[in-house]
Amino acid sequence: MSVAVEHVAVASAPRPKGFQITPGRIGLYAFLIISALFFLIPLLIVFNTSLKPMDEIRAGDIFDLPIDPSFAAWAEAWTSACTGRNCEGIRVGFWNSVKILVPSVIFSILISAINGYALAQWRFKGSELILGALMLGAFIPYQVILYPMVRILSTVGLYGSLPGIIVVHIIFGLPVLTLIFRNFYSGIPIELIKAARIDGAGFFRIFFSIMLPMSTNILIVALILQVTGIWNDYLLGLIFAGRENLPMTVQLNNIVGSVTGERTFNVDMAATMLTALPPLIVYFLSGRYFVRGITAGAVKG
Amino acid sequence: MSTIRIRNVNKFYGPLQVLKNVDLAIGSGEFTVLLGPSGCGKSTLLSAIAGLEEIQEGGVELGGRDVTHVEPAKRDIAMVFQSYALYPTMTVAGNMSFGLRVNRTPKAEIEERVSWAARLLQIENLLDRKPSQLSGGQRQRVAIGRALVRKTPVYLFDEPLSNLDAKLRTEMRVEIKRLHQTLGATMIYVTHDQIEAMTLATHIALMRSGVVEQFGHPEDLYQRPASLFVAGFIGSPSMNFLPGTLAPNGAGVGLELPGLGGGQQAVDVGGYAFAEPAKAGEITVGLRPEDIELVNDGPALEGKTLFVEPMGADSLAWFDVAGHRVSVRLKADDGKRVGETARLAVPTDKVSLFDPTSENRV
Repeated sequence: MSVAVEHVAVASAPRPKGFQITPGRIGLYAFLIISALFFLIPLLIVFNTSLKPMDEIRAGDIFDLPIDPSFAAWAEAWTSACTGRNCEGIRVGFWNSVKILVPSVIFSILISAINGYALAQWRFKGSELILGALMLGAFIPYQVILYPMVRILSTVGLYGSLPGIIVVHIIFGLPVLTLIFRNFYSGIPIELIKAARIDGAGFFRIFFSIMLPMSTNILIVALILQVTGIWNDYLLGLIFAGRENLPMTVQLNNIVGSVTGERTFNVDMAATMLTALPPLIVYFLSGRYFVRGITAGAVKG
Repeated sequence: MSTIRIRNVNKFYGPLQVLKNVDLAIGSGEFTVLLGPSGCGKSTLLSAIAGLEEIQEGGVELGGRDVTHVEPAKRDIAMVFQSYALYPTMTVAGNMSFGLRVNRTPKAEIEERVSWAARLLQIENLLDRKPSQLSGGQRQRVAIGRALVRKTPVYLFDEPLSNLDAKLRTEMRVEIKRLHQTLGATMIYVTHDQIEAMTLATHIALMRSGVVEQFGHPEDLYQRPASLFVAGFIGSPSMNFLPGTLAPNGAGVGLELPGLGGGQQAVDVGGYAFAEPAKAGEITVGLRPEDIELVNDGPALEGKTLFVEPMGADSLAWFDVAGHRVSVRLKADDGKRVGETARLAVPTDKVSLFDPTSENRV
């Protein structure tokens, strides 16, 4: 919140008379523009190349603008790019990713929110211990747990299936998300819960009627974290999803990696752009809330 | 019937005992104030009655029903919190009706009760607002309204006025008193403000460090405080205390006081209602500022005037009596006429006497 307030204050403050271009200001802008370019140039090259036909790519420099920009490569990447002998395009991976993403995001956020609320507002016996375990869980690199996880899932018959990969994403999301929600709910006065208890509301009624409606900002933070995290995941999808459910990232790698004859850079680049788009869109739509939620959590937690 | 019985309640936070053998019987329709300084356990006791805090020993009965281990929701109580605790995402009407909606009250009845409470508290025009759009006083009214719509036989108030400014506080105090008279419900009210306690209560339970020091009518606590603590806590300015000596003789009981002049060694307090026959020895004497009169002759304390505080309706004069500071409440005019010394008559029928070691009334 404080960030937003400062912006408003700066914008509404009267400009100093005769806004002057000082050497310091030129340096500042030069630095900012160079920094932005540093991160943007790879993206621009990818986007630029995806709009060119192969002839142009072979003939010219990667920085040359397309003579006749066309989305033909995008269409090919979407519908008919090949992974091995399968030539249905990256859309298969897209829909697999959606099928993995939606339930994983919904359940991991819902469960974490309830966990965080329970840990923050209903101090029960052992709640501190559970919190400690969660902290530990949040810091363990998940490569360590991969093999045991494979064994566990294959024991219960979920290994290499859609429910399997969803369960894995939910479990790996829980520690960090629970901590985020706990910190957020710790900042909510306990008297609200007491008032609701006297009003006759139980654990879940209080959560859904009172706590959840207050959590918009933190829900959006969790949503962005989970959508980007799960969409961009490669390792877990590769290991746990099974051949039928490989997510878009894995399929992208397969498309780029399976070379028969000439390497079609424009299709590879288009497939890359398509894979990167969903998290970007989510961020552009809700980035404002993201900053707000992070700062709110930071101040209150 | 909504009597409240609190039976020998003990409560601990770890090794710290916050309620010590609290035992109260509250009649139906009474307005009981739990009064005491911060940390005396009054809010904890209220939470125990509400069921928000577990008690380790003893029990709570509401309307003759043992509710010691009953959930707050099933105790048939409503409560108003110090911080108001309004649900921020709901409108005023939503806040007030939440409890009824949870309990699946029919819609028509919910509307009827909400508009009844809104009318009673004059917040009808606020029903569609969110709590964040309300002033402190309005929030307080909504919080009270949320309790009222439940129409429970028992209402609990946890320092409801302490976040309001002085003027609003007086207004709301009158409002709460009016509500109590209108509803005839049993109310328990926690505060550290003795004025609130004296004006609202039919009974006061004065607490100190987890113990109920005295439980009774406000005038009892004021006129016949059970201990030095009660005497000092209630009344503003506080009761004057002087060290004296009791000397029972055949005819009555002599009370020797420092600074006693006019050719007298002692005043007679034979008319005092001693709990047990008076014993000779040291005693602490308590005198209310308004019970002391300035006299020209007769037995009286010789006082040197320190200063006079005019307070509009009356004046407060401070005297030095043999090294002890004594305050006397005077009429505004009399305050102007106080000379350099004065003679303070001891109201033998209105003194309070305390054992200096046990600090209890004798």
